[in-house]
Amino acid sequence: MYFNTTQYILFLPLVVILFYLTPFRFRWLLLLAASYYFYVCWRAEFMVVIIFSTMVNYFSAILIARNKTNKRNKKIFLTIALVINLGMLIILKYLGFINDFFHEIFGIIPAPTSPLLYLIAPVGLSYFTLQSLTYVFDTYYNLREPEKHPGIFALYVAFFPLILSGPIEQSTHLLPQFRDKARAKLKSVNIEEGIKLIIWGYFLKLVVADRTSIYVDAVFGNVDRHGGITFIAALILYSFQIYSDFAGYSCIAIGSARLMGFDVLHNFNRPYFSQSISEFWTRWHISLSTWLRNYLFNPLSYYFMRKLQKERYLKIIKPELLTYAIAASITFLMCGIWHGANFTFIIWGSLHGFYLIVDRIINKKGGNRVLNIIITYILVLFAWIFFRSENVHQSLTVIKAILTHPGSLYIPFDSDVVAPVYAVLGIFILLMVEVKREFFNNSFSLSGNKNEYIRMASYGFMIFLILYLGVFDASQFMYVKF
Amino acid sequence: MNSQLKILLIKALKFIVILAILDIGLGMGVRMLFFTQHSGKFFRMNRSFTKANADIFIFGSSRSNHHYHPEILNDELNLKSYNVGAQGQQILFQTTVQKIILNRVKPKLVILDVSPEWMYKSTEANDNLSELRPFYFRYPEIIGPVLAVQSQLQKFWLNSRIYQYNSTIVHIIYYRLKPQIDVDGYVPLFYTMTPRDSRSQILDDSLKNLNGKPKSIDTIYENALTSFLQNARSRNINVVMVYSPDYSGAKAVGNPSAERINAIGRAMEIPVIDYSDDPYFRNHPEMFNDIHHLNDQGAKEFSRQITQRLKAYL
Repeated sequence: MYFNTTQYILFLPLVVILFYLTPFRFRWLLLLAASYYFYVCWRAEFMVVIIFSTMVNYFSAILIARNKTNKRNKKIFLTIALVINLGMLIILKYLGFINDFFHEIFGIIPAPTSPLLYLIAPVGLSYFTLQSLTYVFDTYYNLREPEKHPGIFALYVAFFPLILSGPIEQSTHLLPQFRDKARAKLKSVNIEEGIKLIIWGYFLKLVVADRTSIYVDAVFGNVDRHGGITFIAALILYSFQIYSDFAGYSCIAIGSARLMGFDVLHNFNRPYFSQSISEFWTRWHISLSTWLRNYLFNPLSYYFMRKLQKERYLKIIKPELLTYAIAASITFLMCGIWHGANFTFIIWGSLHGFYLIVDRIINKKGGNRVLNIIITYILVLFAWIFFRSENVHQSLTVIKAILTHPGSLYIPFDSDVVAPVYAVLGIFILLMVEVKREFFNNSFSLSGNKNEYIRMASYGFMIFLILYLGVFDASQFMYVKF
Repeated sequence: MNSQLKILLIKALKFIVILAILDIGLGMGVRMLFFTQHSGKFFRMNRSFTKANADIFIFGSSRSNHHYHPEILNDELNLKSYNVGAQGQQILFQTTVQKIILNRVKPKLVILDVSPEWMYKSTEANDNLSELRPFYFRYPEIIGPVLAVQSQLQKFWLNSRIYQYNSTIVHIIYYRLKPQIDVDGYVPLFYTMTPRDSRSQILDDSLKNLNGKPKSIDTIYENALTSFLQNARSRNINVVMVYSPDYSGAKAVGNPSAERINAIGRAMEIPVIDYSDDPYFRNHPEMFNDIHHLNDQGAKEFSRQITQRLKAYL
């Protein structure tokens, strides 16, 4: 079940009501049952994967903790957990891609024929795998004690608001909340905050993302027919589509958790107002970038720093810079691969790694804020070409058209004639809200007003906009497929 | 009672009241905006539901809408005709619209312009049924069951007055600024397709078919077609099914969907007139706006020809 289905809109209040009616000691059981039901709605077979993943990580953490003093054993159990988690990810998500790659590039393995190579990856696999690994790493680094209660740990892995597309939670942040009795008390402020986030999430998804997708899909579905101007328009719309789709999903997830008193990490912070690419990654998909920083970039930096400090050629390049360049390149290459089994994602990730290195070399501070925002947005937009394209050839066609063949702006004249107008209308409202929050945060606010009636009327008006302008076809959230 | 629960219940009550006021108040506003249109597809639908009165009603998709010129039918047959064709709409929509219209008027003849593909399962056709939502409050017992095809939970959403007018505002503004020409429902197209247009459109169509999933017959559509024909028959109204011209000759025989349409027609002894592969129109770009739609010149010619065939059924 997607968040944008009527089923979810009926499912969520039911779970919330039952949650508060259930005695605290049984709430984990209710939430676990609800989460498994939510997950089974996709495909019952997927449960095997999630239960297996839960068991592996639960026992790994216990074994790691039992060997606190025995570094060798501790490392062995961490390695086993890593191999199983990443192995599962590779087999279910990347095996077909790897097979295709070696077949096409080197011809060293036979053409892919076995359907086993193309197993359907369970939804949310990339997310709950990273979330589980967070827990294993945190136990390994003695940041937490292992969770003894298998039910509560299973809930941490499968918690329904987060299982499909995150935010990828930190075990030190989310797990203790399942045991926090004070937090679990019914508080009207949590309910109001949750509803507010959910309404905003639905606005982003139904009014902005799903409207923009109509134009973007029409253009990218037929790249040979369009010129550069059309691609630029489609890319700008796509930048809002992907942001609204994922930020909308995240708001609904965070809001759903908040209704039950849980505080989940925020995933977006108006990323298109970033003044540099490094700032962009502190505002875009924050839970993933935090994960990558903590568990990939920092260990890599530490490792390479130790190795490279002794090297002689570092008289030319500063060891800090070289360390940063290597760690950033690897981290963002992995970030690209995490998004999907396609070279387009690899290029997208590598491009962001490259941007970060250049950013670090230039190390420019200050300057005109608006200009910085525009330059950063253009760089991000360019990278979106690869992210949106079906394959590298398509990306190159788009870039070539932008550089050499401006053409005229494509305006659909059939039944979709009004779709782009709705998209622009939705983006306009989104920008008004975001500009206000970014630049005039202390000024008058409707949704944050002290007057309860004004606040409620603003939520009501947002619901009006969703019902009047939204797309109600229960389309898939884009990040669910990653 | 827990104080937080009490606060929450009071807040919830206030919010529900505010929502209801907004839904009713703004709902009245958007309803007024909707029903004061003077042009465009929603205006034509409203007119056909409430005012249009004719001896011949022509139902169908955009092909019907752009192919039958009522004035030519009026002159040739000496009867008043009205074109109810609606863009992107298939048999479920036609059956619903026909029920609403025939509850009010009794024409002599009903023409159903069918498309050979109509019996195939189509998400797009089901999605397009949303255009009936603004009329739900007037005809809930007719429109409600049809919208349930999209989702059984549509009824839940239709309680909101605002939702009934979802995705209509830009259409309303667009056709207020740029009114659409329509002659008793007929919307002429004035572009003349070039051979290059035709080649690229045929290629697009072939690619769509190649990449598309295998098509299967939907029994809901079969039942809807039967219901359409029966509904007219039960009121002693003559019915004719017509396949109107197609540039590349989309044949009305040989594909399972068209075979089902023809079989239903035969079983109910409904005449079927087939122009889909007519050499007078096929491969004549000067008659077409695009490969599936005649332009005004082609529509006038087709209307002249079809009236001669229709005389037999009046």
